[in-house]
Amino acid sequence: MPTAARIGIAGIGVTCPLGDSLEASWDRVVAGQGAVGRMAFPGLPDIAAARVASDVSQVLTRLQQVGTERVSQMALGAVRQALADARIAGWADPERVGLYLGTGMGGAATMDAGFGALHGGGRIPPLTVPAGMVNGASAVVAIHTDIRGPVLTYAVACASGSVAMAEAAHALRRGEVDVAVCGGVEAPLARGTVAAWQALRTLAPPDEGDVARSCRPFAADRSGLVLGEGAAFFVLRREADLPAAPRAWFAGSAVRCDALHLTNPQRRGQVSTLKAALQASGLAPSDIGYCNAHGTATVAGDPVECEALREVWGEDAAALRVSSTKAAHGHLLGAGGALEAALAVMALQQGVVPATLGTAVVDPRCTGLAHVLGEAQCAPGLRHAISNSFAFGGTNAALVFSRA
Amino acid sequence: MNTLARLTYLIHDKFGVDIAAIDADAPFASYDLDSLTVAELMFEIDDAFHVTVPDEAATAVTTLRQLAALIDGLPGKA
Repeated sequence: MPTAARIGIAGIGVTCPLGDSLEASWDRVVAGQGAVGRMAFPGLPDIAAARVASDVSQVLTRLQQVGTERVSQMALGAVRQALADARIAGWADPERVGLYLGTGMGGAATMDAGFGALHGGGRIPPLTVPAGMVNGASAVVAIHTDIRGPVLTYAVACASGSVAMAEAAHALRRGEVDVAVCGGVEAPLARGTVAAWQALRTLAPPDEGDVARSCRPFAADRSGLVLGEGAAFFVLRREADLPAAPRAWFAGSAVRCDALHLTNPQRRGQVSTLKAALQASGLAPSDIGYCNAHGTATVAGDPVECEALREVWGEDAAALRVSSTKAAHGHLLGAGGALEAALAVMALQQGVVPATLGTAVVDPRCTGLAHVLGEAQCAPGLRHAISNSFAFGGTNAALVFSRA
Repeated sequence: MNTLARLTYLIHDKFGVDIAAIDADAPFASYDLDSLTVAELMFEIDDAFHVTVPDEAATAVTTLRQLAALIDGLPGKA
C-alpha cells in the first residue's frame, strides 16, 4: 500500500456556534463576529458560552431520534455536509470506509439528565446508556451513513478531534481504508457539566461590557476559557482516489504526551509535538505561515504554548502568524481541534488569516510571535498552516495542512 | 378515549409515527418501533397511565392490542 501517498481533504462539514456550514462560519470569523453569548443554568452563576443556534435534531426524524442526543445529531449533520462536499452519495465498498470520531465527553447531557432525575428521586430513562455512551455519536453516524469499516471513537479531552484526524490519515496511509471520515463533536452545555467546569475555576466570567469578548486568548486581561459546542468533520482520501482537486493536503501530524500533570500544560511535550509534526510533514518552521493555536485564554495555558512556539520556530517565531479562533467560537473541547483545522484549511484556500477576536493587548509572556489581532489579515503567499490541540491529560496533537 | 386509542396517539405524538400506519394487531416492528423504541414507549406509558409495566410483561408483548390489554389489567390505571 502507498505509505507515501499524499492525503487530500475531499470535503469538510461544520455545525458550530458560528454557523451551519464551513463557509458561513468562515465568513463570520473573518468579519470579526464572534458567537459567544450569556447562558443561564438554574442555581449556577451565568456563564459565557457559544451555542449552536439551529435545531440540530432536524437531521433525524422523531422516530430516528430515539436513543440519540445532541452530540450524535450534531455529528451526523456535519458528517452529511462533509460527504456532500466530497461529492459522495454512496460507497463502492462500505467496509473500506472508516469513521474516526473524537469527543471528550460523548453524551454528557444525557448522563447529566439521567443522573439528575435519579438523584432527584425520579426514574432514569431507559435509553440513558446508548444515548450517553462515548461512542454513541459514532454509532449514529455509522448507522445513517452506512460506514462499515473501522468505526472508532477517540476520547482524548481537548485533543480528541485532532487525534482522530491524525489516526484517520495514518489508516489511509497504511491502506486500511479507502475513505476516512474524521473529526470531532462535543455538546457540553448541560447543567452538571457546566457546574463541573465552574468548579475547576477555568471558565471566563461573562464580560460585563461586551459578552462576545469574554474569551481573550493571549491577552494581558484574559480570564479563562469559554465553553462551546459543535461538530466538524472531514473526508480524507489518498491522492489517487480523489475525484477532484482537494480543498487542501493533510501534510502530516504528531501526537505526544507530556506525562507530567493532569491539567497543567507543559512546554516539553508541546515542543516535541510541534517538532514531530513538522518532521512528519517534511517542512521547516519557516515554511509555516499560520498557526491556529490551542489558545484557550486560560492564565496558565497561553504562555506555555507561546513559549513552545518560540522555541520551535526560533528566529522565525516573530514572523509566524498566530491566532486563536476560540475567541469567536469558544472551546469545543473534543471538537475544537477539528473545527480549528477546518478554519486553518479555509485560511489556506482563501489566503486570509483570521484574527484573535477580543484581544487588544498581548500578555508580555505571549509576545515574540506575529499575533493577528483586530482584523483578519491577507496572506496571499500562505502555503502551509499548523493547528495545535493540547489536552487535559497531557496529550498534545498538531496537524499540518498544505495549500492544494 | 380507550387505552388502545390513547396508546396509538402516544406513539404518534412521541415518535411522529403516522396514525394510519399503526396496526394494533401487527408487530411493533411493522411500523418501525424497534426494541429500544419499545423500551422508551414503556417508560412513557408508566407516566401517562400511572402504572408500572413489569419488565417481563413488556418483553412478552408484541402488538399494541396486547399492550392495551396488559395495561388495562394492571393496578393503578388512571
